[in-house]
Amino acid sequence: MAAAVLAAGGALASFVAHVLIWQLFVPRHPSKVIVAIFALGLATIVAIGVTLVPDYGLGDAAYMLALYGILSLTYLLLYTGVECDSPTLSLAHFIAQAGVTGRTASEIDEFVRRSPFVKSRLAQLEAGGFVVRSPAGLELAKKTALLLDLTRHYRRLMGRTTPGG
Amino acid sequence: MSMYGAWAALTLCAAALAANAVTHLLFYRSTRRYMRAIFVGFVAGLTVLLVGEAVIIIGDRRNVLEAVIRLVADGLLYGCTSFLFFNFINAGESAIRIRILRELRAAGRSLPEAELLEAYNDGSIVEARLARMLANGQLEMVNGHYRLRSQTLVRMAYFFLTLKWVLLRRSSEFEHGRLPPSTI
Repeated sequence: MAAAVLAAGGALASFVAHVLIWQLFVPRHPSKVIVAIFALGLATIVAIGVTLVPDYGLGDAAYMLALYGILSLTYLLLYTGVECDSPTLSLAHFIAQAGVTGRTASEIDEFVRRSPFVKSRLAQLEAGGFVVRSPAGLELAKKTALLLDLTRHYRRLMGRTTPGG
Repeated sequence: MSMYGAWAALTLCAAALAANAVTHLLFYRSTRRYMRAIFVGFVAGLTVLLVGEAVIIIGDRRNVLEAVIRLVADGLLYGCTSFLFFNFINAGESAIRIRILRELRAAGRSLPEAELLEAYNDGSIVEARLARMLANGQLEMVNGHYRLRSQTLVRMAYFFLTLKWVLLRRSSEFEHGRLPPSTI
């Protein structure tokens, strides 16, 4: 029980710390700072568990790590939706703003011109080192292979043949 | 939580996630219904989790408060892993970054940005999303106008808009705000 309370409480405390810091300033590399905040939170709850919780065993530590880790990863993933606009949700919001009248194809084209999704994601891939720009053009970095293979294998298992994106 | 309880809970959550993934695959391969398969997989995993929780709680004879905390914590663990799994499936389906990487891999050489944008661009993204939303019944076309039918999408859009505003004081990444371009 203590492991579950510590993990959930620690994740909540880390989230509150992140929100408070963001009210003061937004770091230059926000995702890295969020990872650091949650890592510090993890170190804190492990220290509390080991020193203050009676009968704190390996099972408790594993459960706490799993719950805290999953909560942190989930928030990190949600945060990418905060930093970057989802085309589907942006479109849904844009169309919903027009109410029952709706939007014409040309209005949507104009909206797309103001939202360069591909260039934005390409810049992020380059900044993250997933894509390398050479004089000849864009190339994949070596570390992207695993990510691509995992999604490709699962899609193959599903039998999906659409290009995606 | 006893040591036995913690390991049992972790094993149960792993079994629930496995049930989710296997059901998702089997259901999708037999019906080709994308969103329905995700929902059915989630429910199958949840059923495994709840049955297992009942067995463990009855066998362990813990007090009510401990049982409730355990249920909530295991529910959170399963819910979040299912959310991550859903995003993994969706990454292969609709993530812009994955599609860009796939285009670059398919080219098998250095690809000039103009060529990439010719094959994959904002127009093709929006076209695909509109087609998907129309096919899913989230959108309808009335007299040449796209009209939104899904309140879920609007709620999700407002949820993220609120988070963007609270954290970044802006409503879109394409708005000039406090945050410079960044990445993980």
